[in-house]
Amino acid sequence: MRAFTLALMTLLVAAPALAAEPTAEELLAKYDAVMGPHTFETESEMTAYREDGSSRTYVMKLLRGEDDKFRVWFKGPASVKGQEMLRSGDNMWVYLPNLKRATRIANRDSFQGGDFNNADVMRVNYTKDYTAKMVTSEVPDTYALELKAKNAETAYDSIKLWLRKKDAMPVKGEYYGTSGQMLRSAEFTEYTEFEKGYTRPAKVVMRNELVKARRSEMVLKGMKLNVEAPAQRFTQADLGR
Amino acid sequence: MSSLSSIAARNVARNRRRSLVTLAAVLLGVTAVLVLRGFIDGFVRLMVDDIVQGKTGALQIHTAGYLDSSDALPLDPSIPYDDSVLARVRAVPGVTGVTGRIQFSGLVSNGVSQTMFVGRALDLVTEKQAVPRAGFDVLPGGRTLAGGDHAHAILGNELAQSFHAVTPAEKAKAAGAEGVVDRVTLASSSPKGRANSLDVSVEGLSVSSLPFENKRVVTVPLKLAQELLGMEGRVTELAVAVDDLRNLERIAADLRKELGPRYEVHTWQELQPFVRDIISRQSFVMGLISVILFIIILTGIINTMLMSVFERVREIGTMLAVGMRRKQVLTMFLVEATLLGVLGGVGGVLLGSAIVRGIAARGIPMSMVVNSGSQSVLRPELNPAFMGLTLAVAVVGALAAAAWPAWRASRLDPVEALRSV
Repeated sequence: MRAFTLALMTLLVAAPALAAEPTAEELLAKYDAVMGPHTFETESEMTAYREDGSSRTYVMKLLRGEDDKFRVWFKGPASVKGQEMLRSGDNMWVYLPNLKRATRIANRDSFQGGDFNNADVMRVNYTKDYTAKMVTSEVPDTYALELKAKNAETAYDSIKLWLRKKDAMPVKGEYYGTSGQMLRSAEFTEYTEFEKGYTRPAKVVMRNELVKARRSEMVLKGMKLNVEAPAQRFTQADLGR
Repeated sequence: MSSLSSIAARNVARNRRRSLVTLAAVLLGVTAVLVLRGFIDGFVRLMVDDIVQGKTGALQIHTAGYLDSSDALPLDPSIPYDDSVLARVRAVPGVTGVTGRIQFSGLVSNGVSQTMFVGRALDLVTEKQAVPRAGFDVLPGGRTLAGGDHAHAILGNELAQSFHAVTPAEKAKAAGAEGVVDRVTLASSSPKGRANSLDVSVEGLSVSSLPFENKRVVTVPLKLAQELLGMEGRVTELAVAVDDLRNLERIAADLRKELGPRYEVHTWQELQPFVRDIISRQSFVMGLISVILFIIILTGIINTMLMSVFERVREIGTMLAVGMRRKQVLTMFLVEATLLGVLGGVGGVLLGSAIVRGIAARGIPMSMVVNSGSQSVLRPELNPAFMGLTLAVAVVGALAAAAWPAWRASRLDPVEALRSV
């Protein structure tokens, strides 16, 4: 009897997953699990291409702790070496080594002058901030999600995401302001299995839709899941150490 | 005494060349001071007019603490823009108009490049009540914004140039020219950080004597900014016009009392420290130049009087010998100096005011002076009190300058004086 109940429950829980069409919430949860796993550490490079034809590559290490905590350490180029960023809940700071001081930054502020904003890099989980709705996708073999902000604090008013049907990997995204004008668009490529059973796009190209000549590329060189992330690393006092 | 005056007058007339030199010194000095002062007053008036009548308004109201962080153009806390607040401001005696604005910052782009801008959002229906000359800074070829406008903007002229942004009419003329646009995108974010962007058409270019404003400022209708920033029904600034600038401090104090500690009220001088500094610097330079000119006038008079004492030693000896009192000699020389001072001073005031009036009648377009395309016209002006002061200083200065030579003349020994050659 007991075994039967267990089997029934398993079936009930697993049933929606077996269904052909996942719900919008499930897809968004999957997106969050791919783009922002529980705790992780990455080595990445961001190259910002400017409208004047110049470009600049930033080398950084990113650590995600529990409960929406992030740390970023910049290793290059020389002009930003030693800079650090911290996110704890809704607050973000940048630490400037020559001033030895942390300054508050906002979601919307540009991440190192590129086309990602701080939220794009350090606020990667959408379930908390947005409600998702399934819409018909014009891209073959994808689901399209329309995300609408739940509160006034989010960086974007709405987001459109396209996820692959076969594994729910993100393909592209479009980011809109309150007026409905597209501000940024993203393309996700180079799907890489960083750890067994964990695959994610290693490259994200963020295009500035207001200034077409501008784009920034984020490339993940390596990623480790479930790393040690002690809480004291995510305090202002730890910046610069 | 009257014979003494007539002798003095005849002495002045007799030494024609010497008197003329002194007269010329006094006259030119007074003229120069008056004309210079006229220009500086005219320039200050122009700046104050541009600012009080055309930009900031006489007074501004912000939420408490705004001005301390005004560089950051904070959007929060904001001021509710409704009839009850406006009625409270209007109820203060001396207030003649009030309008709401939002000062904000963001990125402006033309699709190819982007740059920072400072947005000035104006309630175009009431703007002219608070700043009657609003829109005076729009260059010919463009138009000022009006009540019905929404997705329209005035760009600082250098900003527009660097963006190849022109008015729609200009764009039609330059048909096909590469990269010329008549629309730009303004991107900014709400007080809570929500990104937003809106397209606006370029209706005109503005010019300012402050370089930063030419490079950075975009003027838009208030409603557009409220939509862009998600601040419907809110403003960050109220501009207030007053009936008489001399009552400014009193009205500011009344407003502070009326609005309470949640708001701060500032006069245009506090809001435009830059202009206040220019004005105080100019009055310092003005004072310095006046002092130098007066020293020149005084040396001229001292010189003339000393010369007349030395040249007229025998004459003085004779006068003393025939029974003139030393006191009378002293008085005679002082009267001569006063005559020269009054004649030169009055002549200088007449000539100076004639020059100032002549230039003021024609006016000097500022575009000639600062090469900025500014539409304002500089009109030097006369300040009656300053004219009186200049005249008084010229006369008193002449008297003071003559005091020592006159005293020396009166101390001469008649016997020695008669013998000298």
